[in-house]
Amino acid sequence: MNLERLGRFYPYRLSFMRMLVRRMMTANWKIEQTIFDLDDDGYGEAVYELTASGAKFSFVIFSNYLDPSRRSDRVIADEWDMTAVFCAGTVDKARIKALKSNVPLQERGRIDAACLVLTRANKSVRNFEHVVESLAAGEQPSLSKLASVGYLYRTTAVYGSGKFGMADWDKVRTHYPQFARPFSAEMFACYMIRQFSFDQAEYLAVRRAPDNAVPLDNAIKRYMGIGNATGLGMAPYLVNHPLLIDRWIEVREIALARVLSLSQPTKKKLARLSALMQKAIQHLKEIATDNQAQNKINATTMQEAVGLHRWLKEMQASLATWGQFVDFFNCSTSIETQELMNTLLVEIHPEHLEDLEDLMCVAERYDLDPTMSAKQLREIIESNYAWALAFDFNSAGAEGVFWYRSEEKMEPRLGVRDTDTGADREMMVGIARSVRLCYDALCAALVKSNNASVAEFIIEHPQHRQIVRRVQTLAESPYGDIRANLLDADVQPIHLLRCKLSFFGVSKFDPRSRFWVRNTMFQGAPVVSDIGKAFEDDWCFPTVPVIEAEKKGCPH
Amino acid sequence: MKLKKRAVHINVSLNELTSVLKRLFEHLSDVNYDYGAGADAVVWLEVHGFAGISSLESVIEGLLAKSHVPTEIVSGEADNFEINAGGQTLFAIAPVAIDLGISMLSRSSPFRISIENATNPLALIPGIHRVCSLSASIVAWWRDTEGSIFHVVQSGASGEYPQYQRFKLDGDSTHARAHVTVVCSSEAEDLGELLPDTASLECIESVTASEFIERHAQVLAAGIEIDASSFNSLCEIADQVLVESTDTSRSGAGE
Repeated sequence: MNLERLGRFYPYRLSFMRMLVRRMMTANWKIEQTIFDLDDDGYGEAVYELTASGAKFSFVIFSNYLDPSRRSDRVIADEWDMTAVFCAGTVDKARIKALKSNVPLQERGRIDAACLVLTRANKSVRNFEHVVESLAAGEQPSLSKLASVGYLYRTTAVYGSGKFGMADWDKVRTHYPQFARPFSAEMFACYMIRQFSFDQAEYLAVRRAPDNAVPLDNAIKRYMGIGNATGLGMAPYLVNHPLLIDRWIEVREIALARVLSLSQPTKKKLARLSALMQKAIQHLKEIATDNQAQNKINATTMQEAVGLHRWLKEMQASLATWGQFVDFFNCSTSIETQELMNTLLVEIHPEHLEDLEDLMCVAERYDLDPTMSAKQLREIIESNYAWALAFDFNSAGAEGVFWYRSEEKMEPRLGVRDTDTGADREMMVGIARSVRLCYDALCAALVKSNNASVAEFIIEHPQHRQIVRRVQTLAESPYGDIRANLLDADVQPIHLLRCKLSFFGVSKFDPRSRFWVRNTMFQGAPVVSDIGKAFEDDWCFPTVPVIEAEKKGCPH
Repeated sequence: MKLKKRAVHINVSLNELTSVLKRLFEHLSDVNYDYGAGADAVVWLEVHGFAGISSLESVIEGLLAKSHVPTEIVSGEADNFEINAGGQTLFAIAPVAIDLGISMLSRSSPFRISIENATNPLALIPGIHRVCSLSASIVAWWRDTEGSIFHVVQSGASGEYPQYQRFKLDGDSTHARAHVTVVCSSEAEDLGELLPDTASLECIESVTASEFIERHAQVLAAGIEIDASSFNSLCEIADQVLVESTDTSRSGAGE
């Protein structure tokens, strides 16, 4: 749970988007556009109806004019190009009317327990306009233009889990088995925004040039994802859901361990790995980011991946185990490359993963064991939290920042201690410091009474009850805590964001600062019209497609 | 003619209510206490039909006015403790008291804890539910402040939910003490012997484990309907943990 390694994770075969798409394709979900009531500018309402395992759901969209000066990716924005809700059942006019008076308000509105997800998105104006113009002119859009962004819309918030009156996660999990995996409904909502972005662009092209417009090529559609901007909010989520994070990482580790212990580098597997490595290298080459540090990392990763590809080719006759390959790249490449290779190894062994898909959920509950002796608690801290005790909180900068919630939509922010306002209301994100304070109090208490129980310690020190039950609960969860001082002046929250996003399945990380990152979801994934057709499940590491017009030499 | 103002209700989810209450307790406790446990207790009571929000509202002014009072063990014997809660709500004390009772079982079983000077005794029920999965058995009882109702809650044999009963008291009842009694035992069979004698009392409400489960399922499906002004008042207190926004602070989120 080293922070830097977490920040190098890639989306993998058990990422939530991958699992969702697999389920959609294999269970033959049916998605139909039942209402598409837009005006000449593309504003209005649209409804998509999903039929999945016999149950009906609706994705209801409100598309609005957005003044360019109001366009913002920040959570604190209050107007968007489109807002949407994903709810159980079908919707009639009265239901749409009720949703329309709340959904566009987002955080300021109220929805009900039949709703699973509330979301919104903004256009990538340049890309969207370019696509509409091209289609209206009877042409496909320029792939090189599209590739630099990779999407037509980007989400700026996706809410679930009971926010604003919606269904609690426990309800989603128990009432809607179609979405009983973490963030499955949220990911589906993003997938539907992507679909709407194509449908809206095609619709506008037809409105502009009814006789000339052409539909967007399916290969281009598949290549286009849905953009996303993610900020600091995800960092406290990781800290506050240690059992869930532990499970996600554990499953990832199990997947890799199975590959290493159950599989050999056969000719077929090596060929698949080779093809995938080349695809990943091309994918990295196509990532466009202004972030110089990320560019450097990508360049190094590409270079190292090319070297590993060559090494595998030379070694393939003598390579007896995958362990040899892992040992080699672990000692010869950067963390980013190591994580890329781990991802690829898991990718080529789907046969070891199927039963892991349903292990991603866990109840986040922390129970205090009052019968434990204070001595034993001290031993657990010394053994499991040596990393936390190693920080010197008296050193300069060790508590340089504090995390707080802003009054603006409760947006999590970082403040500079002793400079910014709000340190008196800081969030409990500094687990290492909390453990240190608890440990010091515990040691002092044990000097006074060597036989005290945890309950007796807590009655004297109730301020440590919360961290004690966390420590006790996580005693058997080695991946639950992020082993870093999140209060350090130089903390890199971006690593936390990328870690969580990798489990979501997003790609093309484009850090905009150490606080937020742009990325792309579902790029390469099948589109709605692909459901029911043969499915290869190989849409990871998407690359620019070659479309028919290009093959014929038509310039774009 | 004066029109009576109708109460406006809103539906909130369990997660939403829990989040608001966590922030509320965080504000109230000045980080000196397990705000997650306090929030969970209020939500538990509200979900299971025990008016957790009204209970909290009844003590909120006191909580806002007071600073943290340490829980004090005023007397201790081999098989019992007496705790002075210093007028605090059991939303704060219950988890600690139950933890203490269970931890003492390694020294003496059964173990009795008397809690003096505490409010919101119903908050013991979620505390007892929390430890139902442990091997210990617990029974708690108290009189309400008017002295006319006697409450008994005991951990469930199923290990899932406790059982709760309310009895009507006669004026000359012997169950007259104003304190809350919690008795823990390491043997489930002891529970019957530990229970107070209620044979002569009229039982006016009994909630079984299966009824608790049903109440929870209903709320999970439809959300919790609560008075909008109550919810807004709680939100206002909870929002005290939020930090005012400035141009500088906006940059603390990225741009």
